[in-house]
Order: sequence, then structure tokens, then C-alpha cells
Amino acid sequence: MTVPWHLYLPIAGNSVNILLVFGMGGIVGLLSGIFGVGGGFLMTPLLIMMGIPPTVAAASDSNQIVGASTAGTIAHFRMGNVDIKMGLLLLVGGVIGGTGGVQLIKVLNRLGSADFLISVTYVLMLGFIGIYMFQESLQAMRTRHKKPPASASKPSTYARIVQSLPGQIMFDKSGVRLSILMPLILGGFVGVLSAIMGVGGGFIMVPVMVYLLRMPMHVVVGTSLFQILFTCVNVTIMQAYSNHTVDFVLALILLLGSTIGAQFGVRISKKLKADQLKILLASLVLVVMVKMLVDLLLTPNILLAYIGGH
Amino acid sequence: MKSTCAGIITFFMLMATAPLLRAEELLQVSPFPDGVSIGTFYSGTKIAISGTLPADSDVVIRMTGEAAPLRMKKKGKVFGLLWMNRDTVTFDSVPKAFLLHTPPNLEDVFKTRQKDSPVWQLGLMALEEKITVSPDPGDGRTVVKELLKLKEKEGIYAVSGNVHYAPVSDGRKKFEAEITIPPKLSPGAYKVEAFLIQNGTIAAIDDHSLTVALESFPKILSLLAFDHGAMYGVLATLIAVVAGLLTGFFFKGGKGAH
Repeated sequence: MTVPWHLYLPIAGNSVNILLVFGMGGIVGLLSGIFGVGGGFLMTPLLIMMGIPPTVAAASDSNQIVGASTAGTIAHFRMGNVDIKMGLLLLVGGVIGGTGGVQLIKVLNRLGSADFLISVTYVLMLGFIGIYMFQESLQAMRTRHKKPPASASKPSTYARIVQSLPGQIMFDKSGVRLSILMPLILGGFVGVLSAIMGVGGGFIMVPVMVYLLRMPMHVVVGTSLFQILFTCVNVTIMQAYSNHTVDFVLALILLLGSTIGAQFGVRISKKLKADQLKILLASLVLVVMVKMLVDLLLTPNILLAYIGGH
Repeated sequence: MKSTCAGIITFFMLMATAPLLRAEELLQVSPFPDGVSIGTFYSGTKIAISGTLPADSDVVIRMTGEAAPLRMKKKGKVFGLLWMNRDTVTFDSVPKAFLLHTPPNLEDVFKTRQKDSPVWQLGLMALEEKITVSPDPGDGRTVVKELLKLKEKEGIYAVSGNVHYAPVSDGRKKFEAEITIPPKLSPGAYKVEAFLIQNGTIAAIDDHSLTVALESFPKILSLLAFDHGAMYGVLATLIAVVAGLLTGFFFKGGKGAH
């Protein structure tokens, strides 16, 4: 069958079917809209499966997230759901972490291990988050009345350590008192993962904000988007400068597809129950994780790989 | 005396070039494009090659790229469980492309190892013999076989039996072949050779150069991305932000994916 419309991507060194990329962006956007979480963690593996070199897939996905999170940040800012102080501290950590992550990829690219690190990080993060979400939704379906995430219900060891850290300041918008080090360190951690995985880090940042920074949910999404926007701006520029792996044409097609897909996704989500959505999303995350794990475990078809991603 | 010597030298020179002149007459290749442009909507292309040759001969067409050393990673297991890239190996002389087109009746020649056959020497198996690896991986030719397998999967190494002949007239026949240029073929200089095969030997060679080059948008994008990385990164970011703002405007400020 003749494929109708192709586009040559000089950064990836290959041509892709525009409709296929657009459709893939649309499907990820649709899922993103249905489940209310980002699609970055799905987009990079799908691009890799399409034949885009992993380093180009991850960097171009970061570029796509810049566009996707711009609109979201503005919408949340207008509603007053962005904790600027917290967001800026997470951002400083994210920029440092993201820069470190890009340098790490550069070194690993030279050693030929970057693709392996991307795959292993994905398997670990997707496995952890998928299993956690699956368990949580199962419990919620059983009890029916889900309790809000642990918000200082008991002074745990974690809470005592957090309170003993130096530089405690008040974050008015979030209504929490924390050490300045907390958002810096956690932002740095997400920044490293963001550079390695080519994702905004939303699916890591949201649990970090809810469970570790103990921020209220309505501020979490807006602040997460705010921080992710700037983290991805940094990662995109650094990847373009250091590794030459950003394909902005690919990013734009994905962005257009995902934006349109997300609009339909939001409409579908209104017709489904929350717990059903969570179970479905957890299953999806676990399917992607299993696919990547199998690829790591099974003997590859070809026992050679290029050095430097492509 | 001088004129006698000059006459003898001229005679031997003519004798030496005679087979070549005869060979050029034997194999005649019609003109075909000497360049491939990779434009915005490029997804590989096909180059048609045709010509004439004696009825009792065959023609083999081969397109090759410049040969250069290639460093790669051998995959191996870590912790006896997970596959990852491990030892670095260097292949000494790997052509950027190797596309061989044969008539169907000669396909079998390239499938079995026949080191003393000049025709077999044109094929992929002969290339496999020629490529050396350092440091010696100690697994025979396995690693070279893997390299060829990878290149074949990418479509830049291939052997196909798609040289077809038209009916014979005046002791000659027409040949036609189509070289499929895969989208993954990188820009650079390539060589297209037509080999005339008579009685199991190569009786004549006709070679042409072919340039594959980026053009228009891919060329600009490649220059920006590889020569002005920082500026390209800033531009890519700005374009994404503007696109995000526009989509936010059109879709009434969607909450965006992250």
C-alpha cells in the first residue's frame, strides 16, 4: 500500500508519515484528556516504536510539552491555581537537574548506553506508578469513599525530618510551611528524570507535590504545569545545543494532534466514573511498562547498536 | 629507427585499450539522474536504469557509498538478565550503502559462498569477507553478519533480482532495473556501477557517480540544528510556546498535557 503523505526529518535522519505522527499525537492527547494526566510518558515510547531514535524521541517530546503546557499554565494562572514561590523553587531545582540530566545523556551517548538508561528508567517509573495507581484505585473501588491523600494525618518520621530541615518558609498559596531545600531537591530529581525520559515529569511531579510537599490538589496541577513548562524549555534548549536531538517539526505535529485529541478526551472522561478511569490508566501504564521490560529481557534481533543514538 | 619504435609503442597501446573499447561497446547504459534531492516530503525514491548488452550476457547493477570505519556497540547481558550495549567494536571499511540488483537467473550465485567466482565477489557475502573488526571479538564472523543484518533491516544494504530483459533483436537485448533509494540513506556521494557478465567473468564495467543531498527545508533545518544548536533550541522553544498559545486560544485555554 502506498503511504499517502510523508515528511523528511533531517534530525532523525528518516522520513515519517505525517498522518501517523498526527494520529499518534491525537491518541496520546485523547488518553491525556480522558485521564487528566499528561501523555509524555506514552509519547516517547510510541515514537521509539515508530523508528525514531530514542534520544531524538525524548528530546522532541520535551519540545512538544513546551507547547502543551503553555496553554495549560495560562489557564490555571488566570484561575489563581499557581503557587509561584513553590513553582520557582521547583524550577530552580528542575533547571539544575535537567541540565545535569542532559550532560548525563551526552556522556552516556558517547558510551552507547543512553538508550538503555532511557528504557530502564521508563520501566522503573512506569512500573512503580502503574502498580501504585492500580492498587489505589482498587482500594477506592472497594471502599467507595476514597480519603484525600495523607495530609499531615500523623507526624511520621518523614514529617519530622522535613520539619527539621533548615530554611523553613511559608508557602501561602499552598498553605504549607517547608524548608526551601525540599522543592529544590525534589525539583532537581524530577528535572533529571525529565531530561532522561523526555517527559515534562507531570506524572512524577504531581505525586511528589501531593504526597511529599503536601500541597492541596487544586494548586498542584497549575503549579506542576508552570514548573514543567520552564523545565522543558531548559531541556529543549540544552538538548538542541548539546546533543542536536530536537526535531521541532515532529514536536509541532505531535502538539497539534495531542491538542485536538485532548478536546475529545475531556468529553469522553465526563461520561466515565473516576475509579474506572484510574484502573484503565493504570492498566495502560503497565502495558507500556511490560512491553519495554520484555524488550530488555528478550534477546534482541540484532546484537549491535549505533553509538550516539542514531 | 625512431619512427619504428613509435609505431611499435602505438601498436601495443592500441592493443591494450582494445578490450576496453570493445567492452564499452558491449555494455551501453542510458543516461539517468546523477543526483537525489532530499526535500521536505521525501520518503525515498527510485532510480530507473536501462541500457543494452549482448544477448548472451548478463548485467549486475551495484550502488555503493563511500566506505569508512564504523564504531558500534555490541549488545550483551548485564547481571545475566538485561540486554544492553556493552563492548565497542570498530569495523574497518563499511560502505554507506550497498544495493545490488541482479537478473533473477544470477540470484543464486550470490547466495552461496564461491570465493573464486569474480561475479560472487560483487555481492554482500564477499563484502562480509572483506570487512575486518577490531578488537577481534572472538566470535568468528558473527559480529559482521549482525552488521549486515542491521544494514539490511534499514534498507541501505540489499540484494534484489529485479534486473529484467526485453526481447532480443540484432544479437542484443535491453535491460531495465530500478534502484530503490531508502529514506534512511544519508546525504553524500555514491557510485552506481553496471557490470557486464560473460561466461562467469566481468567483461566490462560502466560507472556513474550519484549525489544524495539535502535541499530546501530539511537543508535549512539541518544547518540550524547542527551548526547553530543554541539558536535552533531557542527557536524550537519559541515556536512551541506560540503554538501552545494559539491552541490555547482556539480551544479556549485547554489544561494541556504534561
